[in-house]
Amino acid sequence: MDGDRAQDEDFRLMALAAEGSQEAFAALVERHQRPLLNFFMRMGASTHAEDLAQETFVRLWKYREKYKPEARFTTFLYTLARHAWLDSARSRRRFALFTARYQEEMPAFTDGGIGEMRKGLDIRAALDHLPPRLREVLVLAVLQQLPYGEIAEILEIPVGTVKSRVFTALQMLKESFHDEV
Amino acid sequence: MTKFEDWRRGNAAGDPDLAGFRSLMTGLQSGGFSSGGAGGSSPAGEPGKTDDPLEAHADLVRAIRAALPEEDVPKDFTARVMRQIRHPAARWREQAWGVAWRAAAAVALLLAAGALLVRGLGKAPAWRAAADAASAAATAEAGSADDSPLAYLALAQRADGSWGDTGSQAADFRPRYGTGISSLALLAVVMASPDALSGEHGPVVRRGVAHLMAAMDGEGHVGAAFTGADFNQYLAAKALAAAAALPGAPEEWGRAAALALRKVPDDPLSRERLAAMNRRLAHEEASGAAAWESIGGPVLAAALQVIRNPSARRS
Repeated sequence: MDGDRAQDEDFRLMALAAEGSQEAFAALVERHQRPLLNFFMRMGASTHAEDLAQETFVRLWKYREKYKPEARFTTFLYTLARHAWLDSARSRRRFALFTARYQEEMPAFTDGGIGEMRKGLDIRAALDHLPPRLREVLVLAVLQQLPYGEIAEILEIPVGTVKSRVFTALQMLKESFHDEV
Repeated sequence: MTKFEDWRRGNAAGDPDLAGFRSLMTGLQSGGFSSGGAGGSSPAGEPGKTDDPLEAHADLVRAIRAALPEEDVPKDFTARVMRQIRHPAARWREQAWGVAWRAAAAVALLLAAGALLVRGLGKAPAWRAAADAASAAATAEAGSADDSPLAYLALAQRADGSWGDTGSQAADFRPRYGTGISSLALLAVVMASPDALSGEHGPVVRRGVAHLMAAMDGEGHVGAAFTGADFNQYLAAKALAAAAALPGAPEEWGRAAALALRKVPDDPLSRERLAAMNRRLAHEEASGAAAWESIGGPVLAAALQVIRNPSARRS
């Protein structure tokens, strides 16, 4: 019931935003900024998560008139967020060569191995080792706690595939923790 | 177990996340994450098991959620988003690529529309088409950039005009050297383009200057106050002075540069340190340069590449 009320409020605010109400849009930003920012952080965007969240909201404003309440608002929002994330990943890949050159020129700083040891046990690091397809479905299902059906719409895959990917991701995490211990 | 115990002994005192790991490890050690079975590849096929993977791994799911709690959002986040919406001209990507970008976006939109037609418009809900169009436009925008260090600097600039990408010691050094890194990046963009204000990087320069001016107090100090602050101060003054010398630069930039310059230390020791910095900028002195550059990561490396090597500015 709470979920339905929240969805109705999202629809109402988006309708007002589509008519140009910046106040309504600001309210939407307030309602969804925290989960969105955490989505990007959990996807691995630690330093530019805020930029990506801002980019997602700017895209939402840009396309507010195109939105129709045929799907949950969060489905639309996370679809935009996922596109922003993928675009960012593409841009970063373009500079991978440049960054690799830079790293070759600069000697790596060490911390006596503490960082590496922590990395092995850190859940964030464990997430980093998941393939991107498994990581995104795990983040959406476990951490963002979206329903399977909504994840299926965002990723454009069947619900059964969502479940099997979540299962595989959790199995891989479990095994990686056992390996560390 | 040795690895974990070593880690716990060495890090327990200073690690705020230890509670999350304790929960995780407790679950592991008690066998709480064993649901699914050693050879179980499909939860649906196991007698008495749920077909919901989250339920099948309930303990692990709880441990993951406990270890990665939601982090807070900066208080000014909404204000920053709304500023971008109210002043869309401030967004560099909407200004930087001009006609070429719009042409690329149009092609991408046509391709996206074609793809939608192939997939069957009847099946695609309106919200999906809107999201795809947004992605196609943004992808075309990102794809039109070149790979030069200058283009990297333009792309890496943050919305507030600073450059936030930092090196291997980012967590410790960013708050200290952020102003210096932003100043060097701005200096590089200014040096690369004599027509920087009227050219495609004009918005980058304007935002970079605005950031430094916003970081300056009434007396002219820029950035954080610490023992190495004279580097930041010197680089900020240098970048502001270079920007103020551009044709068409607002007079207030010159006043800001003069104010910042007044706070650059002028004692003999500082003069020698700053002269050494100048030599590093020109790559005349290699000693210590690697450690110095590692602070700033790819942004500083790109800035130095532009400053030191004129041929790399546009290639």
